[in-house]
Amino acid sequence: MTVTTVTPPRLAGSPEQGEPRRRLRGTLRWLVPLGPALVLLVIFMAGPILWSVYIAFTNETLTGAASVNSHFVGFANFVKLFGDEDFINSFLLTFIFVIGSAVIGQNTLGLVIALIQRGRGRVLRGVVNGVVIAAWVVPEVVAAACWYSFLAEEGTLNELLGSLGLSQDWLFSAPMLAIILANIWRGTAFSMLVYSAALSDVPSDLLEAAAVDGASGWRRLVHITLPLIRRSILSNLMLITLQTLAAFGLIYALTGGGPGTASQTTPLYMYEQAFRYFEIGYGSAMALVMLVIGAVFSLVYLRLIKVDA
Amino acid sequence: MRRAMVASMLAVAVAATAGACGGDTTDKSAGGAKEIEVLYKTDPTWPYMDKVLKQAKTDYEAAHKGVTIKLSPVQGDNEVYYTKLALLNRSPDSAPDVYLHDTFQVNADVAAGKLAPLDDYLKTWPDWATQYADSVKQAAKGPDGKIYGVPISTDTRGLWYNKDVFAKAGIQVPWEPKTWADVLTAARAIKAKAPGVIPFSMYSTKPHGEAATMQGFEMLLYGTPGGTLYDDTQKKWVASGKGFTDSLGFINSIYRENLGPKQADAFDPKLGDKVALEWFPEAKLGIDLDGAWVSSAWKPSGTKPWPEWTEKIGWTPMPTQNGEAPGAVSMSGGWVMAMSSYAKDKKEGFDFISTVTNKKNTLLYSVSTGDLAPRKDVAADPTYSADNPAVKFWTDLASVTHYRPAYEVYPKVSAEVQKAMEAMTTGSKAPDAAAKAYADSLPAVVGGPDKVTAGS
Amino acid sequence: MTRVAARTAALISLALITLAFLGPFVWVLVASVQPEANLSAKPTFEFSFKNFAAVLNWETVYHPIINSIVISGGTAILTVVVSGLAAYPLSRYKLRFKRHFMLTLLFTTGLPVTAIMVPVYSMFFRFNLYGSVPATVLFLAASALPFAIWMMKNFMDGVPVSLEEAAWVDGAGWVQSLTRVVVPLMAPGVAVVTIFVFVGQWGNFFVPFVLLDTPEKQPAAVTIYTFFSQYGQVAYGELAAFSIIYTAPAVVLYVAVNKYLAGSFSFAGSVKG
Repeated sequence: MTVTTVTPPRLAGSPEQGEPRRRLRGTLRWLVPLGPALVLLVIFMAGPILWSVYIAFTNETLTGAASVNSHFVGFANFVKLFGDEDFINSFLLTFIFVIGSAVIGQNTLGLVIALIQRGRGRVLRGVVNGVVIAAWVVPEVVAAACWYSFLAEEGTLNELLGSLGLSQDWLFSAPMLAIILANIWRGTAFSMLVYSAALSDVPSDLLEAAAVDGASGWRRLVHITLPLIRRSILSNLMLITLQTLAAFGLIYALTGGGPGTASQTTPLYMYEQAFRYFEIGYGSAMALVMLVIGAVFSLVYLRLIKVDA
Repeated sequence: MRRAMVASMLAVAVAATAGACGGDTTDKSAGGAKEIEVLYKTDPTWPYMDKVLKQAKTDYEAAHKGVTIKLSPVQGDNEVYYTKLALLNRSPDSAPDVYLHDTFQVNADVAAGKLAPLDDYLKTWPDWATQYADSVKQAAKGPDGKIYGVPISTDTRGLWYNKDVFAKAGIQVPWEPKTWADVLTAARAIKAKAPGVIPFSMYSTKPHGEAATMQGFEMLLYGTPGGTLYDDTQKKWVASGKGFTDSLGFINSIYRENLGPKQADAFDPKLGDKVALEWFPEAKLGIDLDGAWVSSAWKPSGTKPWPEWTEKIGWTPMPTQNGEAPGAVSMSGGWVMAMSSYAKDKKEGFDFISTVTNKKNTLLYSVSTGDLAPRKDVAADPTYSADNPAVKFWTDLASVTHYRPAYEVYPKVSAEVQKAMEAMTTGSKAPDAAAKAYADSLPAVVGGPDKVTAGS
Repeated sequence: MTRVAARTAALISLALITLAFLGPFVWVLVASVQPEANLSAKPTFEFSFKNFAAVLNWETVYHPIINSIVISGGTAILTVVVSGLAAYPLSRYKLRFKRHFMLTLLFTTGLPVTAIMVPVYSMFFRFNLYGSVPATVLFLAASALPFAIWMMKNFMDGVPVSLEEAAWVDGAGWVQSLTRVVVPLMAPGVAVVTIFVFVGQWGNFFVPFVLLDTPEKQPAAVTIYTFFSQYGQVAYGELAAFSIIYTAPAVVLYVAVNKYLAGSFSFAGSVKG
């Protein structure tokens, strides 16, 4: 954009001079550059959220008679939601998925990798980081294709296990395990990077002094390192929980939520209701529940990091 | 200057939105030339409609100067097509003018005002009175008694079986099962004596959508005493009764006794292709509960030419549960060419529909797909039955066939049926528990407990 | 445990972790260069680019990749311009609502995008935007904005104000000082945000899958899913080749900004104090 302006901005601009024109100028000075962002955010982020609050209370669908005249149905969608065994099933699966793949899997594995990598040679770190991050960089559908070939009945894992007599069709015999493992694989890099950054801030002289005092590796970890990176751990947990809560593509491409509803987490159930059966009102009620849960986690996260804005 | 900047930003935003709105509205009436957009489905393993419509487009454009036919194929299976059509139909701008429509969805679209009645045009088309039997004309009749589509195909369903597999299992051919028990006995014999062969295949999972409900479940339910999803006299949906539970029980036996395809295949949306293109030709499958069209892949013009199929493959009606009269059961559906109520040039649209469904094009469609012909002159044509010895059998099944209760809520009822079937496939529920879950969910799906009656 | 034993144990566990992470890649990499690869085939010593040749055509690869470039590129450019403009007042002026605004943005990054899609989808229908690529790009930009503004502001905070003051003395306005002084100095930051947004959208499957209607508009993320579900078992080699072609740009771009990314992680993992 080549539009120029002649008024130099003032750094400590406080528009409290009382004069309305000046105040307007002061407002314009931040409103103009901030404007496009505000417009986009209001239309495409705030708008849909408010919209979902509205349609969650209607019987909106995309086909049939309700698609031409949807009407207000009160709390009917929510009553249906909490009596819907498929929704409750999806909710439990989401819970297992988040705990298994994020809180336990990615978080612990990321911390472990970051810890044992500390102080190793550059080449070694490069190789390990490279492989772990590669799993994170591949698009989710490709990740699903990788895991599909790995876990399928005639896949890589069964070739390796074949001699032990353990081979089976993992995607059907253990679909939750399959998506949890795949998501650990894909997401560990994030936790690893967060913890590597946090650990680099732990003063090494403190650890060395403790070692001289005869503290074992485990004691040093529990009493020095972990308390020092406490806040990183908590924020990391919040962030990966939020990401995992919304996970869709990987599960959809890998198991499609199946077999049956055995790996149908809430985002997948919501997808089925809203985009396959076109129950937009019902789907929005589910979306709203997810948004509220996300908002709670997000607020806890904000509290934790006490960010300086 | 700032104002200039704001203005330019607004201009950008408006331009973007305008471009967005204009996104899909093709220049339907630009320059006076008319364009009819036609939506249909196609697939690498099902290219037939594409061929028919291309032929019809050539014929039509030659006869109607100034009108172009814009063919919009949707890649994928039926479920993908239903979704795409429903979405495009949401707004007048994106709705196609003319489209291939599955008959079971017609009522829902009539209720939503998406379809144009064709009665006025049909009056001017002599073929409608002379070539279509009254039963065929019902295919796309709305609740208001008007006609909303011209049939391009109809179909029946039954059992296909592989004679080589039967020989290995020591079962006599021609095979004529009289009861469900006979079918299960044959499947068990195959499992016992023909290792590596899948004894029985049917559609029973959500990925197959309506195919699971119709080819799978309803073929069982409508063969039980009094079994139906909808009670026509009471005008109510039927909550699960004994027939419903028994039908689920049949599916349960198939999967619990490992008589069906393995889970990965049962959930594979391409199961139908596996059956026709791999398992039957390679003698890896004993029995398939499916539609009349399965053999179309094996024709010289099909996707898997297999001239020996007429000797290797047998066909027989699906028996009723315990051999109750009339002894066999079939389900019929079919596809129509329908017109959008949003279509601008309805006269031209109907002219194209009548071109697609004329004798020449219907014949091409019927011969290549193996679907049954809705037109009398096509059914009587020697090329129709020339290289398909099974066609008379499938046509005759019309005497025992049933139609789906294709009311507006039917697609949702169908989805509930699929849930129950899927529970049988995975074994997550016992048949009576799944039947109870169906009965519990039915009132909400069909719009209230007063629209539901207890099953028999 | 002696030091040597501890060191060996650490090395062994690192080796095991690396191998476990490599496992799922193996068959994709091998199958892509095997002429007759499918899911159940055994690896052979045959080597060929047949699979790549088979998918390198307009419909399978080129068109979807071009769509991906248009969608991801459009989103990245729009996001960078809009977030760059927005970051300027947030970084340079004292504004009463600033803290709340920044916290709201951070809060927004936590909301599950999957859940927002249902109302967005319904809105797109209401306003006749379903299937529109420009509208999809606007939505994608909006969803990328909160995080982009945060990153932009952080990078901009790193550019000393004193450098701008010289420009103001010369009579430059904020637009000039932003474009001539600030942006050149934070070029690496701008590159990071651009690539971050671009790579994010490159892999985005759900949004275009839900908002775009016809295959001609779909980016590679969606067509590869379609290919996967239609031919995943029979033509795994071709799927693998397609996967590699589609993944390559994301990897290259990631490597390009890798060294700048460390900074954003200490941010993500919390700011001390």
